[in-house]
Amino acid sequence: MVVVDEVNARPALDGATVEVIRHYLNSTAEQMRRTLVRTAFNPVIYEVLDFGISMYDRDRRLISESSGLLSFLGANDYAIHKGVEKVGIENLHAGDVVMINYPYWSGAHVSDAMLFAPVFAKGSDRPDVYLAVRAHWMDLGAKDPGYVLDSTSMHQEGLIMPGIKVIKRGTVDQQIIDILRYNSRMPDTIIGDFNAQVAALRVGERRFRQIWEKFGLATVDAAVDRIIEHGAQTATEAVRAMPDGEWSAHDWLDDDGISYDLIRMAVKVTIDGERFTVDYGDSDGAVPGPVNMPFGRTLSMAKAVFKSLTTPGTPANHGHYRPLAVSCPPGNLFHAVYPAATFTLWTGMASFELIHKALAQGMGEIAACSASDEPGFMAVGTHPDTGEIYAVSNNEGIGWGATPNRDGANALQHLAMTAVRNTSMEVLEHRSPIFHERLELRQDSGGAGRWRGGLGICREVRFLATGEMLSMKKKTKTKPWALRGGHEPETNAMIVWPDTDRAHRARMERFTMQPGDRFRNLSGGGGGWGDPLNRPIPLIREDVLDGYVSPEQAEKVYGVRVEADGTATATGARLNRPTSLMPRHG
Amino acid sequence: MAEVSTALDGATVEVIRHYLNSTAEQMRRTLVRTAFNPVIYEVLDFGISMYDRDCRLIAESSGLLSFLGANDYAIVEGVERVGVENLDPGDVVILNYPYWSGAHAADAMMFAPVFADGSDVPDGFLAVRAHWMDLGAKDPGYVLDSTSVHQEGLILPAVKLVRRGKIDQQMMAILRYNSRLPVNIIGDFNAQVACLRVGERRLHQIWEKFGLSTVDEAVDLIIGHGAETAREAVRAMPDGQWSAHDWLDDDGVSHDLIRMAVTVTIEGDTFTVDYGDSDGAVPGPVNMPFGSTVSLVKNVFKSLTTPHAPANHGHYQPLRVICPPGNLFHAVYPSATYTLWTGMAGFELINKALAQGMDQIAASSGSDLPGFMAVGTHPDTDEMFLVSNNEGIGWGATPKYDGANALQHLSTTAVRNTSMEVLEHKSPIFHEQLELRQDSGGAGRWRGGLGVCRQVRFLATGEVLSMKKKTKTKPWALRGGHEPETNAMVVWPDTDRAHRARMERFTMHPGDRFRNLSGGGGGWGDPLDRPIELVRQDVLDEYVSAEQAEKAYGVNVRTDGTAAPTGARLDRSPS
Repeated sequence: MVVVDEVNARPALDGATVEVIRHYLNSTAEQMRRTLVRTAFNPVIYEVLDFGISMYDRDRRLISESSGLLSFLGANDYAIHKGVEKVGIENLHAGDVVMINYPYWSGAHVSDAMLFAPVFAKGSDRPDVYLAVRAHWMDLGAKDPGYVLDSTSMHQEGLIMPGIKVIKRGTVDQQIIDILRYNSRMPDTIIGDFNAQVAALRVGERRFRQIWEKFGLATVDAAVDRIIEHGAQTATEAVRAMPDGEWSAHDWLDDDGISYDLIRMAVKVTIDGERFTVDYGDSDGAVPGPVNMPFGRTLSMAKAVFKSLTTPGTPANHGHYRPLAVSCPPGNLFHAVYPAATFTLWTGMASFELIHKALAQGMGEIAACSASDEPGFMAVGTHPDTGEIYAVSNNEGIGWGATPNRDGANALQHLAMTAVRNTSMEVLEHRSPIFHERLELRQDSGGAGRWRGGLGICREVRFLATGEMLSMKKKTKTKPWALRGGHEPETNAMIVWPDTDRAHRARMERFTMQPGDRFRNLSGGGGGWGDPLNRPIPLIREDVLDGYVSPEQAEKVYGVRVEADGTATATGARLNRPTSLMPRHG
Repeated sequence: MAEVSTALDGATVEVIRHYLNSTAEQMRRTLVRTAFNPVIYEVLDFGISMYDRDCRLIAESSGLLSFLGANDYAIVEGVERVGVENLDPGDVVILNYPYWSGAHAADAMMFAPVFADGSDVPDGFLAVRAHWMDLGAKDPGYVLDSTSVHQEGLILPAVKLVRRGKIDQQMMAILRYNSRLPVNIIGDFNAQVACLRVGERRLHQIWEKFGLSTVDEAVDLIIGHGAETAREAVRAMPDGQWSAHDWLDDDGVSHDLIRMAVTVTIEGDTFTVDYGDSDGAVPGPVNMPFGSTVSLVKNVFKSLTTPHAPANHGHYQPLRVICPPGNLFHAVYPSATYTLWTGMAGFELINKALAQGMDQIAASSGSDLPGFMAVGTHPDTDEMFLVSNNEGIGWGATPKYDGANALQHLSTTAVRNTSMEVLEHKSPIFHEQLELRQDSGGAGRWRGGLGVCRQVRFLATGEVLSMKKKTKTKPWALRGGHEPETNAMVVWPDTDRAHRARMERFTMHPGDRFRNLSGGGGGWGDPLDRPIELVRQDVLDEYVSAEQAEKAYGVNVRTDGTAAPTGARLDRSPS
């Protein structure tokens, strides 16, 4: 048992020891991550890295986390509170593993199973640490396989586990495993992933015991206090360095999957000294379809953006979020309450850059919009070679927004998922009966500007057997935003059966594909920054030679004619401008 | 400890048999008095069964016929799944995996092992199955168009809800959070546990009073007697082989008719039913778990052979049921099975086959169970409501009687309709009309019974589900009798959007109406042979219209009540 006096009388630690302990802790998270990646059954975990691993102290303050899906990391912070509260600290024992996926508590949709384990130092009768691992499971018996795009109630979204001990004192409850198995279309895969998550938790437990043994519990506790305090200090300093002010922005989600109406997403950001407040209250209310956001996920998204703006270089801990307050009334689009449908988490993608859009009004260094959505696709069906169900998904790269001093990068993952990867063509074609006919940068998709937005992708795929294709994107009707006279880029799009008379521009929906049927996935570009007529002619010439920009676009938008022999000259609007606006070179 | 076995006298066996049947009845009363869900306590949509240590049926209480036979199937699967060696006193196991439980996912079968003093394996099993209001299927109320078991609600593959008398609170949490009506289903769970506990106590008392080995011996004799009477009955039937088929409207996904076919073979004292000639599995939720198919056949067989005695394992000794996996009547994972109406519309197939070789069979009785449900949020309470009604139908005419009017379908004879008062109390609907449906019975020497016409108005926004799977093809008649009217539902009747529904769901707004029309019974024999006096009375009672009397029966009933032959009746050869 921890002697209270001992806890209070923490030794004065030197900075070196704190740093050593901090690295031990971060390394523990990294080892948990490697264990998960090496043992998971599901390529969405081991290829896409669609998971989140976090460690908490006894007060559920974040100590450390490993890289993974950004939105999972913040959601873990929310879910660990709800999970511990639901089970009750007094009911937690060494060796327990608890599962939670009730969206309103877990901060994600039902498929994202969060497992957590309490860890007890020798002699403690209360947990000294909690470890959490969340990963996307392939199937928990939602109404549709793969992904749900048109549910109107949580009860259509799969098996709910409201804070249930799957393992009690180290013994697996086989009944719960049976329930998981029989309620899944892919029982072997999810049980494999369950075991992988447990393995990750056990590695974390072992490492923690070693750290405690090496340094002593009180020393580690004192170091954690210092680490968190340091996080708070650096974050507070960063917010103080930002201009005070209040800015609002809004954007539009395509629809809720049921009706075709645009949905308004709005944010108000207030910076006041060392306080950074984000308020989503001016957004639309709850909608019937599955685009409502659990509040835990709204928090998580705001945290991810806030972190990247304030302390982007350091691994996150509880302290880094001290200046941040997020508000949104229950029943709002950004604060779902039971039984609102939440499966299609794309609201979190399409609204990720809203805070940037607001801040850009008051801060010079913000980049233009990066395609404003995560435009993926999924393929689902029964594989003709094996007779077994397959489900593959790919997060398509997009063009990033231009900044005040650089072009946007081409074909990177969306800002909301910078630490995850696309699924390689080889894995996609190995696991599912599809064939790639084309994968290339999408010419002219980046927004024109003094700095050009990055380019999206054009991917064309043919089905070799009957299956379903899901277009995964929720912002195709309205354009991503540009800055300071830059141009808006191309939007995300999916064309099913392209170049045929039934070519169809899809919203987020599912299609049955027959052998030979094709789809073309087009990801959006980044917004431009500054007037394209100010972009230097040599850069435009190179853009055309690289095939990033077409000669037509160069002439029309940039006022530069690039001849077939590679020479470039000013033309059109560029010639007609008042001289004072000509760029200064050198 | 072993008691010396003695040859039991018949009186003791009868006393024990009545004790056992009374135990089942006490379990039933406990369930009805404690359930939260009107589908249980009003409609009696449940099944209660008792088994010996070899899972042989000892006794059962009246309830939903199809549940009773399904329990026999599920208890074997459930005990095998958990393992006899893993069962302890005080355990309660739940099972609703359709392919094992013989019913759809909403029908939660719970069973408890019962141990006599000193036994280390169960000496008996008690089972109670009831329809639960919601286990998180894709749609509230009922699922009409699922294409996979995974759209049909939480699956509980034989898991213990109570271990050694202690409720597993984690399992309760899983039930609660996966249901749209958690208070209801936990209430019904408790009612089913109470029912099992009553049965346990009574079994212990019986064992104490008579001794375990005496009771065992009596059970052997009871089952032996059941087998003997059933074999005698089969032997009394003509040997032969007859086939019949009929059509289900569709599977809820496509609009194609689905073929249901049966071959019945009687040979000496075996009675074999083979469904192999039916259509294969379909995408929509009308596939039958094999346990449901076996249950359906058992019910029909029992009514043909030993209709009066409470059922036990012995009564089914002569029966064999055959159907290959993957057939419409033998669903395999992950086939959708929610809409159990194939069991209703397929119920009379055996009768239809036997009618070719046996005289005493009645014509078809509406050939379906044409109910409806209403679902929504009640404006007075803001809580979800969910009511259902099994509509009465006209029964088929027999070789010596007219069919009865407006009774429950043959497959649900021990359940009830939901009274108008309960329907209107629990849901915002109002009855405008409820009457016998004139001319719905098939004409014949013996007339088929009449169905019902019910017209209902919604007082608030909600959904109506039309629950029937045989509206496109007619019920069958016998020996020249006429086919009766089919089941039908008309939504928004007498408006320009009047719609004749298949089994589907509609959103209703305040003031919207629906008309539920249940089918009649098939006629038996030539209507021209029906005595004029009976036709006259039918017209006076308004069972038959004057027009129908003239057209189908050749009888002219005048407004003064006199009747005279006319038309076809006059033209017949005098023979």
